[in-house]
Amino acid sequence: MNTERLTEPSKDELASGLRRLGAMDPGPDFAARVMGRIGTAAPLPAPKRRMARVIGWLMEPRTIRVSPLGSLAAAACLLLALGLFLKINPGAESGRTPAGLSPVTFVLAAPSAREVAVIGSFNGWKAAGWTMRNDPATGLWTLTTALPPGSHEYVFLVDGTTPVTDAAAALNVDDGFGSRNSVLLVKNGDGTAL
Amino acid sequence: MDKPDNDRDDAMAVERTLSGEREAFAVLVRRYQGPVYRLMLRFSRDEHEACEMAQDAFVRAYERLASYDQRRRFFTWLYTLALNLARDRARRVAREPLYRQDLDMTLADPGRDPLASLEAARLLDALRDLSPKYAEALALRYIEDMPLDAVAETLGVSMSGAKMRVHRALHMLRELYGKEGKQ
Repeated sequence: MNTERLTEPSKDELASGLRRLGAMDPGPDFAARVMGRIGTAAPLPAPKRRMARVIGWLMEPRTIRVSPLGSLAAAACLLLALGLFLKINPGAESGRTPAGLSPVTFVLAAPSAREVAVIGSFNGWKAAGWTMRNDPATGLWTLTTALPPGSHEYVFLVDGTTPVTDAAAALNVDDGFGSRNSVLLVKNGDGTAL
Repeated sequence: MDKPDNDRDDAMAVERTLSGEREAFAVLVRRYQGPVYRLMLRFSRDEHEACEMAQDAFVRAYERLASYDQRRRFFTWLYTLALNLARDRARRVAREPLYRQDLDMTLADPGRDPLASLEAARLLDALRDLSPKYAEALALRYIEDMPLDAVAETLGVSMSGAKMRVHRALHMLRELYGKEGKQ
């Protein structure tokens, strides 16, 4: 212990030595020198927050130069994008789904049919305005609409005379007249249909 | 004056400075010139250089005062700014060891015991050889005489982290200082 004290100071001695360093000071005129360097300048304005910078960028008027060729190219791109969007979202052409309703797509494979409509409890079993669209390449008839949540009975009316149940429906029930109706269950919100 | 009083005074001085009362900033300079100068001494070769660096730190603090978040302690913000400045400078300027004559000149004060001045310079030099992570914990705790919770807050570490750094730094300094003493 004594040998160590001859070569290395104790921690208390070191702490005391460090505390003595706390007396070092840049001198009485230090503040005056700093203030002299600052001069009469005002502090810089606070940097804008990110959102303020974005809003500022959006609000700032700017000049946009458009060449005829450039505008044609832009219009072509816009049309292409719109076409792609409609192709990907076939329901988009009829606008947004009204509040409280869920989008539903009926599909029937009937390549030889001339006309197909959907009739059911949701349209009073009337075909007017519920004609399905045919894709001759696939033979599929489709119709996209929006229905309120709940249970809906329906059939496809082929060529205006023949009711056909939906083979893809999860449920078919007796219609009370010797035939069967398909049942569509529309859930709340996400439009999931059974 | 206790810590909350100090913080309130600092906040008031910052407000007044930002509202155009330049002299209010001089109050902050006088209050913190010692810790900032001593911080720069640990990153510089002599008192003159440390003094210049400390001035740079206060000028930059003044310029950026509007970006200071007044929910934080002013000293923590100032110290972080000064430490960043010192580190940047240390990266640019390769540090050279202090020569004996520099040591004699450093801390030369007619009113002080020359032997004590030399010891202080040796201690400061040993402190410079520590990693800033440890040197700063030790400096804030003993040179600036700050309680451990304030050391932790200033360095942005936990209380136990600050305690560990101070403890290890003291141990490392003891070894370094002992070696220097033997040379």
